[in-house]
Amino acid sequence: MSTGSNSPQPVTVTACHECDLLLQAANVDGRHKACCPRCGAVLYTTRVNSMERTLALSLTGLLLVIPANTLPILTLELLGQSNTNTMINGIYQMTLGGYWWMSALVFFCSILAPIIKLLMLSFISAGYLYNWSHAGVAKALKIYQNLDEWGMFDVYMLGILISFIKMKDMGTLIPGLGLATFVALLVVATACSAVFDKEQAWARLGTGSADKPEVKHG
Amino acid sequence: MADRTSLATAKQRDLMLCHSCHKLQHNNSTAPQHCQRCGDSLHFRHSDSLAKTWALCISSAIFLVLANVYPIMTVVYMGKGNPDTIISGVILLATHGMIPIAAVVFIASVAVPLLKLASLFWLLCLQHFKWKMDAKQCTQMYRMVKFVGRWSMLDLFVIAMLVTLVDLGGIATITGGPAATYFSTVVVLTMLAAHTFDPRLIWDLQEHANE
Repeated sequence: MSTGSNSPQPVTVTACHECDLLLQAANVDGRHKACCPRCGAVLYTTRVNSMERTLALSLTGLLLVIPANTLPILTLELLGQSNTNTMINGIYQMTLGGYWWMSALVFFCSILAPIIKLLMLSFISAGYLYNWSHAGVAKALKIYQNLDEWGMFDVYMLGILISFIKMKDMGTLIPGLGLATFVALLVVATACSAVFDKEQAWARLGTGSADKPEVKHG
Repeated sequence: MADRTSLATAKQRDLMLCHSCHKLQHNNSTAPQHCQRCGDSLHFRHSDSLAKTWALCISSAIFLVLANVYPIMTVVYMGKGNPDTIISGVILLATHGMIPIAAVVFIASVAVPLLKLASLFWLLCLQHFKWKMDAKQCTQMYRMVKFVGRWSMLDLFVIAMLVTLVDLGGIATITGGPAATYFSTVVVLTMLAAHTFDPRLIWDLQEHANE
């Protein structure tokens, strides 16, 4: 089976990033992952056609960002009055209430960080496919890695579910188009991160010249 | 992979792994060194890992107390309602028969932050008092702490959503409380603490014990 990943390399030495054990890098196919034999950390995974799929999914995600953020997610109707919630106006309302630190954090985790992640992924994968300059792609990879755990679409989704169940006895709740696009965005963004092969992106940036570490025994 | 007798760490062989791009390279022992591939500064271990983690853990413990003392949300329905703290909100949900939701909120905003801090303090104490513990189990605990941390944001997302959704003048309003600010601080600080702690220290400790 041909894979989109780099061809089998000569024996390279690597170290586990969680327990520092020296290891020989093994070649893994698209369905397996390399784990550290001592501490069990996942060292790397290889994905088939990783960069093409990442580019497609991240661009799709970016298209969904605007409707997911501005269309109504939930509408509450109670005694003839109704109120609509979008991702943006929840944050706006909290800021008006004086909770600027919390609203900044919610804004960062539910909107800013995931969008930057998608932008970085499309930049990295496009850079890989069209051979763009190394420095910019390396910077994008670092930004992506630092923001990785701060993008919280999945947590936000659970938050929507909980508010839905909490409020369903209070009045009539109507899910909006924003909710549908948000679910689509969540699926696309999660798939995009899962399909992205970090090691492959970093490997292209290596100069590969005479900097392979040799292991001194003794 | 490698056979058990030749197990060695990168540090013992004078090799450093780049924290950003995971490229392994030689220590040239000339102070500040940078990764050949991505340019980040190289260290054998995260610099000042323990001191930073202690500082972040202690401050988040203080904020966790404040977050549980002050009200996090006030629900006013038909003119009556009281400010709720995190715990009283969970109890309220449970008494209204919403046990599964109460359980999810309890796990995300009470159990997770507490267990996370306890685990981090435990890992730090292991380093200081050189207690003997199974390194693999400690690493698994650390991994769990890292994985679970972001789910504490759940309650804050729910509050941000409810505040806009339930803003119906005299009928019903929901407003946030001061604990929301403290709780967000706890989430940020514990996530940063998990990030600054270097799990390789756990294994270094075990190697010292075996020598």
